[in-house]
Amino acid sequence: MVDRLSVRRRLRLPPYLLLLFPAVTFMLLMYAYPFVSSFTRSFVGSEGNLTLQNYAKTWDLYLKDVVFTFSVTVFSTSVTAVLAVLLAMYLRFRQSVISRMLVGLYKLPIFIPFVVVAQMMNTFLAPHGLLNLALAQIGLVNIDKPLELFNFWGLSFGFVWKMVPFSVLIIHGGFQMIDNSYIEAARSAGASRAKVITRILIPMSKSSIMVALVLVYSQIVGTFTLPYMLIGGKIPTTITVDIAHRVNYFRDFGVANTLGVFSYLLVLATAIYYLRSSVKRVAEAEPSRR
Amino acid sequence: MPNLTLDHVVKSYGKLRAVDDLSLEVRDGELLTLLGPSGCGKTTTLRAVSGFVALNGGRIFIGQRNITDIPPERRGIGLVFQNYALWPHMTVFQNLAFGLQLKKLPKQTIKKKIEKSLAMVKLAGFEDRYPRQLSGGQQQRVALARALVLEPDILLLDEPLSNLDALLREQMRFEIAQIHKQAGITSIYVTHDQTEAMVISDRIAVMNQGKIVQIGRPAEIYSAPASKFVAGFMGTTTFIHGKVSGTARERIVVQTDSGLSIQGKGEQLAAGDEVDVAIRPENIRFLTTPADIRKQGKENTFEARVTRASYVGELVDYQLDLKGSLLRAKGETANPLSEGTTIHIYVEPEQLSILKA
Amino acid sequence: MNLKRIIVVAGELILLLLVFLVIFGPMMSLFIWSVAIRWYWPSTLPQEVGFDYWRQALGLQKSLAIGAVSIVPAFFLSLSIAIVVVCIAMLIAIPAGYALAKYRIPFAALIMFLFLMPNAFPQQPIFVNLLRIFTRVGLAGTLPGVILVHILVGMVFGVWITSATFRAIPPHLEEAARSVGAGKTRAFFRITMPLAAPGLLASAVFVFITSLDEFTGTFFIGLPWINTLPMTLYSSSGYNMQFASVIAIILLIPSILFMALIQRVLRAEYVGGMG
Repeated sequence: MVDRLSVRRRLRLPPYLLLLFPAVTFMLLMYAYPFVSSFTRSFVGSEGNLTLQNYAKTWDLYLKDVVFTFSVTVFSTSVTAVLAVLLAMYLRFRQSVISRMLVGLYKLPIFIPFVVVAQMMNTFLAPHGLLNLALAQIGLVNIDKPLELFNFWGLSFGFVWKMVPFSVLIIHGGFQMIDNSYIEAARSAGASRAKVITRILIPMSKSSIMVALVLVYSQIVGTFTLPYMLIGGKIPTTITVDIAHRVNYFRDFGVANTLGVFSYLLVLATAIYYLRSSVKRVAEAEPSRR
Repeated sequence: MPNLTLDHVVKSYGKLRAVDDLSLEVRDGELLTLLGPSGCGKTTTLRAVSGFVALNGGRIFIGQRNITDIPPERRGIGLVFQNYALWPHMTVFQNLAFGLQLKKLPKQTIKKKIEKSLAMVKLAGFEDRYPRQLSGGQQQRVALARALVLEPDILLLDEPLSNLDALLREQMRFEIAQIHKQAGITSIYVTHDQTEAMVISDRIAVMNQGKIVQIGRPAEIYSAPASKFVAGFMGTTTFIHGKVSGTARERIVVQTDSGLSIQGKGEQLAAGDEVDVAIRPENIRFLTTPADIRKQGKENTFEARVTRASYVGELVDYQLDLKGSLLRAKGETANPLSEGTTIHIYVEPEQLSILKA
Repeated sequence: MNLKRIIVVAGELILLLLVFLVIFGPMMSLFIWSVAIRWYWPSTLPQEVGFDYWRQALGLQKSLAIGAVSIVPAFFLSLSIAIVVVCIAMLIAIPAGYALAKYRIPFAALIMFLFLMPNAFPQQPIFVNLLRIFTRVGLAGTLPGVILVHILVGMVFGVWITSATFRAIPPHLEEAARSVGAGKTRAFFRITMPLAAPGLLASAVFVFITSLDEFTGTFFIGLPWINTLPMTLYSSSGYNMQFASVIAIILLIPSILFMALIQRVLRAEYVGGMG
């Protein structure tokens, strides 16, 4: 009896360790370990030795695709940013029947999985797809020369389509958190609506806008489904498609991981920003003391 | 300094008339307070003047200028908010400079005006601080400075002290009154705190359900309330219900339901009218010696029983039972009365308001 | 005044129309293709419509049309995987979310870091390396392998949503229960859990739908044996537009339904996986 008590007193393990153990172990095994692998494996050559040959090969074969990925991402993110901010501003300032309808309507693409979006875009953007059909009917497109969209433009359209609603959700949320009194104070000081937006609203919601952009940017870099089903093996294509090819046709984990490292480099800046600001934000919202 | 005129202003939300045909003139340089309970329409009226609420009827003038249809940013009105609304991403200097920069004033002028404004609110040297580095009271003073630095025609203050703790609120009341005197801007102040209203206002407009029920100087509102509502809103008041039994020498004599005969002052009352007698704690005098009782005579002298005595620091708060009506009274801390004691009280008729029930 | 009003409203209507076209254009395209039997360019609408592909997909009809097979097995496979995934993921995520919300953990930042990484970095390299590892241990192309991957993908959201849910419950509610004599466990199950239930349910639905829709991980780990619904969608999209569209719609409906339902419980940040 006495022994058991003293054992319990010595083993005063905090309860949260037990609660966290399964989740953290799982993440370490299933995420952290493969993540580290993606770096280490990129330096392992075909003979199992440590080498830089993967990087050389990637540079030769896939540099164009890295550039392509980067440009699609930057382009789509920029367009998304502009559209999302404009739409969020409209929703913040305008209270009408139409704006309320839009508030419900715009969220739809958020809930549609990328596979379905890919298929939608396949049918919509095809040379004989609905978009070309509609444009031909209006006369904007020549029936014999429909728009070829399974490329940079179609891919960007797909990304913007999926990402704008998600961004509006976050940015509009940020706008709404700004109490009206800040806006009214500016207007009573003589600011026009435009000045209120640029000098007050956007600076005060900078964090929401940045988070939305960062998430959009890294999601686009990492998306496999859409480029795979839309562009596939055509040249140029995205890093994600190249990785799939390397794995499925060549079982070449060396180059595949090197490509992975390239994609990590593309998101390095945004990832650091995101991780730093998120951890800071969650740390500031103190958990209830126990 | 121009005056501010509201002419038959109406604002409805669906069937509810938040501001109900309200007309008001705020005189040049005066500070007028809109005082009333939540939902009386005081804030809506203020926001109509600032331009953030569109009217359903009526007009608003600054001096001769009709501003009814002019958007807020062109009305030239200074606003002070309950939550200060200091832009957190700007320093104190930048907060104050914002409006001045929009007017395209030269840098030197802006700097000078800001210095003057900050000095007026006793925050000289705070230019480079951020709002989060300031206390509540300091933030409120910056908000005031920001409104004043633009030298507006009209200043509107929407319950600016409600977010401060009691001690700070009391201090800030005097400061605001002083700053207003210095600046001399025609102002409207909104609050639900009647003590605050009395301290700082030149005139008070008591509002209820979208209408002004009484308007006048603080002393008038307090000592000569026009209705039971106003009397009950200002200070602690006990009402005793009764009927007018007669009028004698400008005095109204009331026979209360409990059988007392009370004399007080009132207007436009005739025998037989149902009335409420409004008694304030500070008007109840204790007659402690038999000599006092005899000297006073029968008029307005009553016998009451002490039902509660609470020591509140600088005085004793009593609850007295006067034939069924519970009165609040104040007494000195020396020789306090204990519960259960019967004492004689006297109320000066001049200080009792008889109001139509 | 009136002219300005007219211009504004006209502008709004144009905006509404544009948004409507952009959002529903691709969706209409999908719907039309799902019922198109014959559709040759450049006719505006299919020459022949019918529900043949639907009937075949649902197993109501067998035909020789290429790739038009019953997707019912794939559907049930996806469903069962999702159910298993939700159970395991929630079992792991709820305690973790509770711990993160209610305890002051010294290394909390590190843990948050770990759970935020999947949002910050592309996930495909993870799947690639998991494939390599799974191949070695014989999990590649197996059901347990796919389930593990789905748990990985869903658990990140699960932990964030549950921790936010628990954090939103004021601690004094549990303390009040303790003050009237309830022990820690009883207070948790009688007070905290019921209050957290909507958020936890939302989290479960989120994990469920994420598993149902999961493609990339399944593509790398599950090929060629595990054919979930998204996999059949992918494989048929190469050669049969109509059939693929049918599958896409079938995948679409539960996603929209469930997400719309829980939208009210989830705040903007969690839908985005921001945490």
